[in-house]
Amino acid sequence: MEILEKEFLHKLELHKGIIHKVAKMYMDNAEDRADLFQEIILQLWKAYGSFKGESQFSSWMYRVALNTALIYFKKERKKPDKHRIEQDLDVKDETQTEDTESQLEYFYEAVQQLNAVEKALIFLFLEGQSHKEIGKNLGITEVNARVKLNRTKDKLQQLIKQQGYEF
Amino acid sequence: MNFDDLQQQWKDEPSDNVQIPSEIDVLKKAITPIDFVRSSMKRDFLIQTFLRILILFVPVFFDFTDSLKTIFYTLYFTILFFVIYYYYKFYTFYKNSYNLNYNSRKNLSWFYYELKLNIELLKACSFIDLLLTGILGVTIGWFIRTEKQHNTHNILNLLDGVNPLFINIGLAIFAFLMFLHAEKLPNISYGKYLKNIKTVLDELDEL
Repeated sequence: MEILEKEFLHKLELHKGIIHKVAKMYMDNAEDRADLFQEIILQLWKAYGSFKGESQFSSWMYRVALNTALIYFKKERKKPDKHRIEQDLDVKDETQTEDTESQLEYFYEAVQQLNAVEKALIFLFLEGQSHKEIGKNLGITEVNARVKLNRTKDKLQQLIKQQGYEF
Repeated sequence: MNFDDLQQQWKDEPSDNVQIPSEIDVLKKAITPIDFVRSSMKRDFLIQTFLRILILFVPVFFDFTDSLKTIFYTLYFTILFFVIYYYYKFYTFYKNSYNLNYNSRKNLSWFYYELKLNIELLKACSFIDLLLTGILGVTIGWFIRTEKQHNTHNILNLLDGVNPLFINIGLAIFAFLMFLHAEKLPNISYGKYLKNIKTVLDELDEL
């Protein structure tokens, strides 16, 4: 068990960016993001036994991570964590100093207004998946994936423009 | 910025500061709706099993006569038969752990329809439970009344002197609360998860 756990954590380390990005797309504050990040790792670990290695570890991760995010419920919090909010603002100020990162920040801000399926479509697109692969992951046809993705891209473009950013 | 730029920036986004835990045990318990439903079903099962075992000893505690014991245990085991059927179905649902390796639609559909079915089964089971418990209550009451002269330690002696109207109102309120429990509680407990998953399924279906 320990060897399996170490092997799993090692693989996870190599692809941790995937979980980080999914959590960032689906949750708009640091606390919820941390919860979802942790939840994805747990679900990956629970499902790891059934990973046969027929597909790449990263492809398998996309599927489990997105399936977790699609059904994830935010925790109900009684009052906001002030300390956490201050931390968030600090992070944002730092990142906005660099242009590339600020472009991504605009993207992450706009993406929060998409629904769960639209987020999954954009995520898989940005990860370089074809319409066929997106359809396969989400369980929809290739045509449906293409139509949905195009609509979502238009919507996202509008949302980013509304923030005053040229897109 | 365009989508090609965005894709490149996405790819280049650093993940060096992302921390992966050194062991799985340090993580908190999983909390997806599926896990939540499974754990609350398990909790309900344990509570109900405990209560049903406790009810098994009611005739001993209250010193039921032999004929009353026969009626009590006949109805008790009839109820138990239906309840065991429900628990068997629930156990199948519980053991058939969801598979996040499936594609999203298959995973969500499986859970949605299984949960819906289990909610309906839970309601049906609660109604059967309610009906048979009602019959059991009336039968016990009737027997106690008729055999009262022979047994001075009867629990129904407690109700002597109470206006029958209040007893009937009390019983009606109890029956209504039990009805709400059977009909509404499963929806309150699990309905929001069902709704959430249905929304995502509908979003997948839209073209």
